[in-house]
Amino acid sequence: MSNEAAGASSHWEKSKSLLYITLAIWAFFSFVVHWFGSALNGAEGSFPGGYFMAGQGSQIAFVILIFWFVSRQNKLDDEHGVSEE
Amino acid sequence: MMKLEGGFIQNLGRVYGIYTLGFLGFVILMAILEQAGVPARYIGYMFVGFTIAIYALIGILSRTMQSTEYYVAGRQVPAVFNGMATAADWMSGASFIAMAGGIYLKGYPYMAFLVGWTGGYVLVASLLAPYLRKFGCYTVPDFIGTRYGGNLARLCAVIILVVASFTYVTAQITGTGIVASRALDIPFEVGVWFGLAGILVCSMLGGMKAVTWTQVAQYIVLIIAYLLPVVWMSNKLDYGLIPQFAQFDAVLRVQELEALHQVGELKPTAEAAAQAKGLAALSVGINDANDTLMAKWKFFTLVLCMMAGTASLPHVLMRYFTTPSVKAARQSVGWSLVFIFLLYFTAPALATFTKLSILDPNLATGIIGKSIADASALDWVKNWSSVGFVKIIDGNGDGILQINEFFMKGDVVVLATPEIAGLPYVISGLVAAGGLAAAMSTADGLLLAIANALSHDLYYKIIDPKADTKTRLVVARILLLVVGAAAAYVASAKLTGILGAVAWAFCFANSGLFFPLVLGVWWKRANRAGAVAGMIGGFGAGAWYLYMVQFAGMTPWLGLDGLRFGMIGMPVSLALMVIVSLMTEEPDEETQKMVDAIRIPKGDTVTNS
Repeated sequence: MSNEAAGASSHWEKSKSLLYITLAIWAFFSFVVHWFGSALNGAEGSFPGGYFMAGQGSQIAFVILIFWFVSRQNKLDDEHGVSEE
Repeated sequence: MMKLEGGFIQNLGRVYGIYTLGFLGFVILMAILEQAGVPARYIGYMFVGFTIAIYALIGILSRTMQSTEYYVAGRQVPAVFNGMATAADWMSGASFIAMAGGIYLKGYPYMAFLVGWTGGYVLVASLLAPYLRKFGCYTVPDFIGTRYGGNLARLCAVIILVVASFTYVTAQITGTGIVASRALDIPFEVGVWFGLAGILVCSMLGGMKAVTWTQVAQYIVLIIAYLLPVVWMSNKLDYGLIPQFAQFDAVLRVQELEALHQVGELKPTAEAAAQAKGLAALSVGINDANDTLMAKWKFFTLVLCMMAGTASLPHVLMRYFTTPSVKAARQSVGWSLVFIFLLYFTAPALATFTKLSILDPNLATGIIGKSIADASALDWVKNWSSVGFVKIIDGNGDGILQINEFFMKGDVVVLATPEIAGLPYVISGLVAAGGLAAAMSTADGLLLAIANALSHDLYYKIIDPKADTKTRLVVARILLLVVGAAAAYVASAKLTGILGAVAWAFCFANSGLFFPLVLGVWWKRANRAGAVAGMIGGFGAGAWYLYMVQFAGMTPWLGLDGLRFGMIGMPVSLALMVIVSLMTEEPDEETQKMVDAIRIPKGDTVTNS
């Protein structure tokens, strides 16, 4: 295996790990948190947490998650010398 | 424009900055005209006419005869602008017109659409977009056809794309028809063809290049049109400057009012419900979160179907073929979600403030609890009753309007909110222009996706591989006309509602394309036989289930209704794809190398068709 191929293979392994972390966070904000929607709403008259998570909270998390993922993946590409230019 | 062309990409910020200021100036001018006594209907004409004229102008200036420009906008759209174009491409009449109304009428469970339609972009960014960009294809079936090889795989992808996108585009043309007919006072059937003409002017001459630059312009119009009324309302009701953050106090207030008006306890009488057919009275609380296992399951399955659909709808994926690099494609997904987020996290606020305006007896706008005669005399009630969007039926005959006697269509929430809240007509004109922009931009993207798949994949790759560029582009345009006319014809027959049709499109796409696309990148062992089995099996199973539940009267399994049939199609597709791939030979070395090549950003694109 040439150096380049070895680099590419370790790059792919690390890319996969990054994917798994990303998908785990994604699943948390897509599904897990809404399981507790009713509990998050709390008592009558308190801040409607379940409503907030479904209406806005998950969306905010997704925006941050994508930019985090992109920066990590870019860094990964640079470190392994496989980025463009 | 030709002179500017060399510097156009460099000057995008300035060009669209001037455009935005110009549009705001136009809105102010309309406001002044309204104060000066110009009748409302002329303001409506001017909003629709002016914005469509701008889109058409951009479309004509971006005409092209080069295939890279026609199919992928020359691959030079910067990440941020591609994000804006994707947001317009993505947010359709369903997002702009129907979503806030759905949240208004159906409450918490409906917010699954908000979660699903945003979280899908995480899948697009991490699983697909950068890899498809590296691949360098023109269309989504192009990826399937080249990755798996053979015309059959390509043909399957084309068929699924056409079915999903056609279902979707029909709903969008219906949307343009509704808005055009309301704003221009023409019959719906005429409005549909009028809308189509506007859509075609943008895409016919310049393909993806023209659609990209009109979509950016359309995004700016639609986001201003969505945000302005909500901000205005929040301030008018004294909840604060930023409605998205101020809405939580309003939610609590609405819950008090719901108790007062007995929302959920008073249901419409059977007789009234039959009279109000197609319209609904408010009968669920604003924040009744998932308590039962079934409610949770329904929330999750809807979220999952919408997410996987997002990551398999070709008109969205093909937007990421237009960026200059793999890195830009990735970043561009983030920007897309930022721009989409601006509208989506405002939608619940819009629903909440509208609800507050209608329910609160202390407000001049509150109608519940007033006398039927007073409520029926309001201008907005009269206007929207006359087109069948609102209906008041005094079920118990006591002369007072109760919560179960006020019926409406969800779409009213966005379209009539300016009138309900007592804002000037200029805001209604702006909202009409925004709704039109949302529906037109999505229809543009969808029609282009269909016509490109037919011209590039079916005609050029399968039927006549020797066709020269000019012939291919002429064929592409003829197909665009034909598909557009077919969609307008179906839309004018009013077969489907906007939202149902949109959810179907997502499920068609994820049943047939999600796993063949994702595994094409992430699983080297996936081969042609597996992909074909996955596409035919998944799409077939999903379509069969939809037919059985929707038309043949079968009881849905586990509460999986017609909006969620991807939950049947996707597992079938995955299982078949894995089993059949493992039972047949692994892909040849060339294919394996191709997959290696798309996994790293460095180097040339795989195809250079």
